[in-house]
Amino acid sequence: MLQIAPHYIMNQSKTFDFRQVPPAINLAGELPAPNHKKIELGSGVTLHLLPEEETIGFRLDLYFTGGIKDNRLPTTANATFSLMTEGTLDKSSEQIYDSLDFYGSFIEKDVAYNYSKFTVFGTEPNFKDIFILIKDIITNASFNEKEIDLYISRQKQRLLVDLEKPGTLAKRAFAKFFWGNNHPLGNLSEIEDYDNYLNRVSLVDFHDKLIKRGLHQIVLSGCCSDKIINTIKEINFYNDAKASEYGDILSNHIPQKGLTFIQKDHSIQAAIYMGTELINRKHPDFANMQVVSTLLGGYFGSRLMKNIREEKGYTYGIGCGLQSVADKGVFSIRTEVLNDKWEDALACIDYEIEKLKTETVPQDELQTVKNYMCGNMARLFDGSFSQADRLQMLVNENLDWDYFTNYLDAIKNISVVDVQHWANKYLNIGSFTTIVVGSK
Amino acid sequence: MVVVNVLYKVGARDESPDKTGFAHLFEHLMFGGSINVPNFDTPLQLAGGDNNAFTNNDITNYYETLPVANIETALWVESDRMLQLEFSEQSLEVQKKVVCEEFKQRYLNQPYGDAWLKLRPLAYKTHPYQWATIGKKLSHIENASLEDVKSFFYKHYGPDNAILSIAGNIKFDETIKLAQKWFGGIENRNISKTNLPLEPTQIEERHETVKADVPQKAIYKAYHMCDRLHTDFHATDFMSDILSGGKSGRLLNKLVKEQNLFSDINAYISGDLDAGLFVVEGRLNDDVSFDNAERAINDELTKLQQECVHDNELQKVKNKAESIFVFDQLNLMNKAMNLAFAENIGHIDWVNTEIDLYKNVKKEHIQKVAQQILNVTNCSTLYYEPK
Repeated sequence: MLQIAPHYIMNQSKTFDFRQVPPAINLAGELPAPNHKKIELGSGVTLHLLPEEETIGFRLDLYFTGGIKDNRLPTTANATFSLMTEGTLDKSSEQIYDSLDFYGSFIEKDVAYNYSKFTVFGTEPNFKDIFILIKDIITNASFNEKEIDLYISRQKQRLLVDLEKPGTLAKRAFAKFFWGNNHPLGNLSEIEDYDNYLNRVSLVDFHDKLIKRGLHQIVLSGCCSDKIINTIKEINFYNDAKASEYGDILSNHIPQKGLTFIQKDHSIQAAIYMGTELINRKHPDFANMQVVSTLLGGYFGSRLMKNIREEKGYTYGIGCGLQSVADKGVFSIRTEVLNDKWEDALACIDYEIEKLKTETVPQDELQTVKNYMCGNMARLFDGSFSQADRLQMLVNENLDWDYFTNYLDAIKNISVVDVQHWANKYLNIGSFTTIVVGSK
Repeated sequence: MVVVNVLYKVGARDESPDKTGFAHLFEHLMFGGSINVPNFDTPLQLAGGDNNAFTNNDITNYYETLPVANIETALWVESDRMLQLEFSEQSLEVQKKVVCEEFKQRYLNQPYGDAWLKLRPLAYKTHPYQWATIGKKLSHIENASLEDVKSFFYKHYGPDNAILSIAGNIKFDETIKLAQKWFGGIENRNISKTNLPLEPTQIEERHETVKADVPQKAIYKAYHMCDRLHTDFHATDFMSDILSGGKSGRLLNKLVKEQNLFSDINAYISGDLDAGLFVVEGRLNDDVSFDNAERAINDELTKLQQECVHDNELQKVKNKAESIFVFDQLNLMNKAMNLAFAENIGHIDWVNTEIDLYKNVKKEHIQKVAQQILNVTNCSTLYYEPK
């Protein structure tokens, strides 16, 4: 129950002088230490607990080895994960969802590059029924033809809608140019792929090798009662036979650099998606470059937002980010701008990158970015569900909580000279693959 | 962490018909600085905070999340822009452009993005819900003047038209003391509530067809429903859940999976303070005619009028509502906002007890609501036809 206070009518006071002085700011010191426990369940499966008091709501994340990296044909990983809940040996899709809804439970699925995640939310009174159903889905998914056909027809329709969006077109073109057609991240589904490649055999194989036998981490957050923990131990979500990997795909694609304009008739804005390879999370400079990236375009007060939105009014928003994916670091900038201003917007982006390399950042601007990033870290640790989100990266990339402490330290210690140094070392406008989708 | 939330009781419904989109444009201007805070965002970012805002047809809501040790920074900047916003020509000119780009990005340059821009004027003839928050057209935003901005501020922004809510790891007495310090001195602006025109009962079937660059045909059917405080509200909300809540709703099972007529279909309520809309929207599979698709929807709606929903169907949506209530309590931002929303409708106790109103809904009540509102003469239908 939320505490409700009686209504307060504020007194009318006299002077406003105190308002001219900003309140003192206390810098975030340490990150909260998550109350994280680990239990080995056997067969290499680890159960992680992130308990929170006073709630009957829990969240269970199940991590499997199968991910986009295992796509031999476009769509397989996503289709397998989607269709897994559309029927088991003795339950129809309708029965599964009816039960889930009846238990007040909801599920989320996320197919990442290196793994996939199945999340189920529920409340303590129903946990046992929910777990039995989830176990049935994981071990006995049936992939019947009728559901596959329905999935194909709905996905085709959704893709048709998506392909009308300039932002989506730019993102897809970038993926193809950057990763190449032979890489699972560049080999995107086209409409015809759904008919040509998607079949029951590949789904069943993917499910059998990489999901059913691919469970390796379980994270329970929120309500972690003994009853729930014991049931997880007993129910044996995993299968003793271990996953047989598909093996890596070798791709020696070299990203196609430079500008490509794609015509989209009647578009009233131009979508820009540009990116370049940079360092990944394992690299010691990663945190430093996150600071540079945030300063350039990673928060509301960033240089790109100030220049292109707040000064020129070309866009509703512009952002950049450095992601670690498929062992690579990818730095990208994305925006949608006035149709006839995309060249100008690209010039502004060049200008801001060049400025970071040639001029030292003012001390107070860097301090703002550092404080913002530290505050953001604190936000990212608030509550057991947020901590479960953080654990996602740790368990899938073999890192521990020290990663965040070190990351925070790196942010706190970076100087204005460092920023210029890192910008010079890593940002090179000539290395970008740039896609513009608009109407000329 | 702590969340500071300020809700102003002004939304698109408070705009004049020739200056629509203004409440939302104004929300953008609220970040342009105030009398003692030249730049709104910077002090918050220095305090490790994050902030944002949204506008809908009824309210404008601003919020900050930041470490609890820095709560005063949020109270300082929020109270200062309530006290006296800086009115700057430059800020206005830029934000007009930004909002126009937002208009394009979110509404005009997306397939079906303008559906609600078409549906509202079809369903509402008198009430200001006939225009969307973003506004009727780009020119209304482009024509906004600094004088308009000033008068809007003094007409709608003031302590007597605002609700402050705070959630986080902070003691009650301390919170009151700080709220008093920062907001206490701001004088009321004698904000008067204008009576909005009532929407007359619809008595004829309404229909419009749009030809657009869309890949599939789509249908939108909007029925007038009750207001937020009406005793039918929760039954109406459940009626939409029974049709398409979760992934086990009737529309998905019947019209997508069994009859293969739609690729996607949903039912939902607009949830407005004044009398709102109950909407069914779906995208048709290729080769399905509008007639067949619409007949299938109507069959499902008629079924709700003729027979009570099953007991376990009703129990299912109740269980779901209860579980959503549990998860809502785990999120600080939801707690702060729900407090403000509940206070805004005059039922602060509903943050804890509205769930009981849902749990007490009877199946006969849902049938009664279906009979009352799901009628052709209460319906506005919009077709999207690919060019």
